[in-house]
Amino acid sequence: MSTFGDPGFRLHTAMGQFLSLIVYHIADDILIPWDLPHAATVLSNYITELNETITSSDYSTLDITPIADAIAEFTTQAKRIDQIGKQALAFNDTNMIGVVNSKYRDFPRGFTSVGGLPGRQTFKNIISAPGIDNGYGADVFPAVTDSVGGGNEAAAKEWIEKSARAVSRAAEILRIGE
Amino acid sequence: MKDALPLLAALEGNGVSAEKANRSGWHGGFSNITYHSGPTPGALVNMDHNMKGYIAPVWDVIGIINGTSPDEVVVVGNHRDAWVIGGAADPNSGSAIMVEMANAFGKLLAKGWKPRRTIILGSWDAEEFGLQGSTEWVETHLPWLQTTAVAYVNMDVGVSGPRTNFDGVGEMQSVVVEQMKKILYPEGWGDFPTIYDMWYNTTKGTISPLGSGSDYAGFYQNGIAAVSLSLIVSRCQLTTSI
Repeated sequence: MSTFGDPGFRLHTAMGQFLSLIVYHIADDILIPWDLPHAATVLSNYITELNETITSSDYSTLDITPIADAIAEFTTQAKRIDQIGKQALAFNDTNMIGVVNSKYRDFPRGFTSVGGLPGRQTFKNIISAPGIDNGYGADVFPAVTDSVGGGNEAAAKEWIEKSARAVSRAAEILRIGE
Repeated sequence: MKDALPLLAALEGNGVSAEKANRSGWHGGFSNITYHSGPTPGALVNMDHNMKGYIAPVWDVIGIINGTSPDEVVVVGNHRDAWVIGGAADPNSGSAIMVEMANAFGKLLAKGWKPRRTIILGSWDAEEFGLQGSTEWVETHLPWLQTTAVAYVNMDVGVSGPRTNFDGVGEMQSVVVEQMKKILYPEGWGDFPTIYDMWYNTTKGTISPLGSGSDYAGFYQNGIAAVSLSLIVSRCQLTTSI
């Protein structure tokens, strides 16, 4: 490192500043610094990717609207909690800040499927997982993608429903009041 | 890579081509190779593989900074075991960075600072053997983590080159990108004012979802928000080395 990789360790220094600032803000900001509207945008990008996988597969008529509908609901709740969080911070409403923080902490638990993805119990996150034959890369909505890739239409349908329910569950955890 | 050429050449025209497989990273850098999957009937490869088989203990080293809000926990980690004796980049560059971060937090603590959320620093063992150290730790503490964990921040190959690689969940992407804008990029590695400029110019802002291959997997697969960070030679290198 001192001869070839990073003479003077200036890259190490920059990386140390980067990591420390990230951890400092997540650990000490009054409001956990999450961007939920952006999380919703990312999920929308992933459903576009899933749609491309399906339309170019042997099961191009598979209906993924249950997941799309769940993401639409997630988007609504994401925008709402983002506004409520910013307001609570502006008015120093410590009770509401606590509520938003606990929901920011808890909502991704909804993305997991208790029994695991089909054929691989240790992978539970229905949003992304390593591709079955993709090395270090990741597939989005992996249970649906794997089922389509494996030629199992019934399983694909089942996992479209299950994945939609998981996204809905995450949206439900984000919901405040009403 | 030269040693791989005869093997790749033997696969030519047999099985599925990289184009047909249509998967990212299946087509390599040799322009005269088609990157077929095989099998190639009749091709024979002799392989000698010398290794020692023995059982050894696995040690995770855990540091804890207690926060004022006991039901909110942030975990940050980097593995400590290496493929080889040495492992300057993977993982020791990250271990050095973790130690410096612990030192910085220690100085804040000495001034009376106490974070809102508890910070756990994990130096994981046996990552290269299948993420064993971190996964065992997650499984041992799962009920507590599922109740309290706000996020897991992973670093692996802290520094092996001058380009940031960053993957992770949507809700955490903005805060990570914001911090990049605050950090001056060292001279001599490209004409960029901040880490953000370097990252954005070399990746066009691409942030991949999490798969596996480093210690975030145990956390993320149990529903904990996670990001993974490194400085690497180039972005595509990450898919082959960790």
